[in-house]
Amino acid sequence: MIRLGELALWIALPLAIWGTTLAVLGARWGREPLLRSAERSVHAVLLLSGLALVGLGVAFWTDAFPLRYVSDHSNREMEPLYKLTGVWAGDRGLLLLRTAVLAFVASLVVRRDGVGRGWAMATLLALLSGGLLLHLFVLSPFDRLAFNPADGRGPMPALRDGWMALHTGAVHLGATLFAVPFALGVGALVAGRSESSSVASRAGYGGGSSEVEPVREAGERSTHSPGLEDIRRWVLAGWLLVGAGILAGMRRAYGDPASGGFWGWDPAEVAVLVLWLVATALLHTLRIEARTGSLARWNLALVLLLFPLGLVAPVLAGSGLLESAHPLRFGAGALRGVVGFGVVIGVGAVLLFTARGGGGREPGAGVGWRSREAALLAGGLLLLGMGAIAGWGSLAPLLTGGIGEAVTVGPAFFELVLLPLGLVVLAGMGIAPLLRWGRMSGRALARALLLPVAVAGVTGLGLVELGMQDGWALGVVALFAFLLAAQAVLGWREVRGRMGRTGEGALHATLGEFGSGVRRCGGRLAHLGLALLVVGAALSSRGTMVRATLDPGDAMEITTPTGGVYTLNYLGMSTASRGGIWQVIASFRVVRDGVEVAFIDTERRMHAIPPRTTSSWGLHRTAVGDVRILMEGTDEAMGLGNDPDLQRADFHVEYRPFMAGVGYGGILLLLGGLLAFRREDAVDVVERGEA
Amino acid sequence: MTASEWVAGLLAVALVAWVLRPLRGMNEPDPAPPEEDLPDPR
Repeated sequence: MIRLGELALWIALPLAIWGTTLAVLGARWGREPLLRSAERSVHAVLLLSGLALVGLGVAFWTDAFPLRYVSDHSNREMEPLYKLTGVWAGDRGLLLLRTAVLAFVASLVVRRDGVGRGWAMATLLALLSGGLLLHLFVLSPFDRLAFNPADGRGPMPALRDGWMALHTGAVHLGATLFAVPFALGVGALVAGRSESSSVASRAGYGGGSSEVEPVREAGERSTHSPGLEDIRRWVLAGWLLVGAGILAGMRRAYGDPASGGFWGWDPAEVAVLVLWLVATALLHTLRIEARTGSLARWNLALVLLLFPLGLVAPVLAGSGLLESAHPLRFGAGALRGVVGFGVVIGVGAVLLFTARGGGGREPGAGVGWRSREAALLAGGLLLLGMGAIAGWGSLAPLLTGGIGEAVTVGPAFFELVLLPLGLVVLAGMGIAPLLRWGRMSGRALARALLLPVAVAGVTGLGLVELGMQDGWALGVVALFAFLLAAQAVLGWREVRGRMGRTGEGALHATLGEFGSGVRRCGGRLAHLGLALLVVGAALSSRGTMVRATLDPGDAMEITTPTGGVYTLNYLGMSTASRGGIWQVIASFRVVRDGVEVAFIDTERRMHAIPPRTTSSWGLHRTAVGDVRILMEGTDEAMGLGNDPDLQRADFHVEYRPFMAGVGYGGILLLLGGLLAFRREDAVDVVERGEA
Repeated sequence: MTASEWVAGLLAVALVAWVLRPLRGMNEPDPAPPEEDLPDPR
């Protein structure tokens, strides 16, 4: 099976190149048989790259250590689950996974009428050919060692982690999905149907050729335009996966003492954040295009940017060129190969865009600055600006290193610059939904803002009264209150409008509004989730911390910012050996204000292969805050743990207020994103009186 | 040759034949495609 997987890549490459050629010829000459043959080659490449992936999975499962990639990322002691996730715990397997996923989405897209024809198919097949060339000539996951090692070297311990596996998988799957809008964009540009301003209708893509709407006047365009809607949904799918990946990565980092907290402005984190910010900005400006028909060129540029960015940024961050503590590494081959490939794609897209990207109506005429589209555009620009600053900060050592002494910027830089912008975005999230499309009078805006501003003010004053002194935390919580109140005002306005139109009761009208605007509600839920996440992040960094050296029977106390007291009783230490890991476990009883609330363990692990020591937090979570404890180990403790006289150890305890906000906010964000998949029918828009 | 190589060889032949199959009708005129599918004459 392993050999079959390896050979499958060799069969796939000529088929992909064949398909690319035929798709180009078919699109140029308009010959149906050529396009059908190209379409079949996409399905064939899917089958073959799937076989290669299965072959690599079998290699991991059966400990095929003669394969260099397997021996580098697995060993005999690995749990079966991590043997499988080991497939994407390194550069070569991860890129093979990306190729297989690309083939899968390409196969989904070409199967549909209209979409499978032409330049987009050629683009997807060209991307597949490039990926296969990389797998065969630069980064083969099937490279063999000259001998059969007794055991593999195993992965970095941090990669032997479920959250890590989810994080890497989700981020790279999401980044791969951006290939579809990229291909649709390229198709649109090459086909060059400039009579319409929209990316999608230029390409003639839609849910099916029979569904493609006749091109309307820009101003009449509704959210119903199926081609644009398809692009929105693909971008949204990638955005959701990248977002889920970021959240999984935050969860992993929170449990890993080496990371400090859940976010550390590591270049690998920033790379993915930038990708997510650009996708977020695009989702907002696509909304403007769907509604007004303007910004088509802008959206096309972002669509073309996303895929190469998602390909290059993580590799650049994990290549060792930038100082990163992220455990996923990309070797020199991956750096040369992927960055080279990404640059070719990017330059090609730029050339194509400058040559054929003309046309499209830009915003301006008849639109006031107090309008929904102006707010969405400002939000999009702000998000892009934040992405650019974050990217610039991460790349600073590389950029300045070429001209003199390398300048490295730390978390302080990012927080100083990005936090204020983040607060502006947070405020904008509250204001924008209250604005009407087109223009709105100052008086109407002031009236709409009155209640939210009052709620925010009262909340702020209340918190000051309760003794909160931290300006950032105050600002964030007050803005959250503002956002909640704004959403309540908006919701009430819509429900009342529906009650007036239909004569329904409040409950029925609320349910009816939700049913007719699932996508809209999803968007609001996502905003609420993000705001909650920001509140959690802001408050949790204002916690308390204590260190102590304890013998069994000793206790230590930690006071929360609101005056509560947690007592942690050190019960004792035990040791165990499992799966090639030697564990030393210290157990604690947690008592809150005299009441026993939990038992928690903190652990140090010595890994045999590769030889490393890691530790993990003992965690007691509540909705109000997390208590967590870490054994900062002593030599005596390691290995002699079962001797009752040698169990003294150093401990570090933290209290993190409202850490749950980050988790629940993240879940709401993803849930909202999922709801936003729903297509919104033009009928509902008309019914609400918006159109 | 190993079994995997035999399977890979047979798979390659089968896939190539399958991919090439739509080209058999190349000399016959295309059925008239729907309006949207026509390539742009420019």
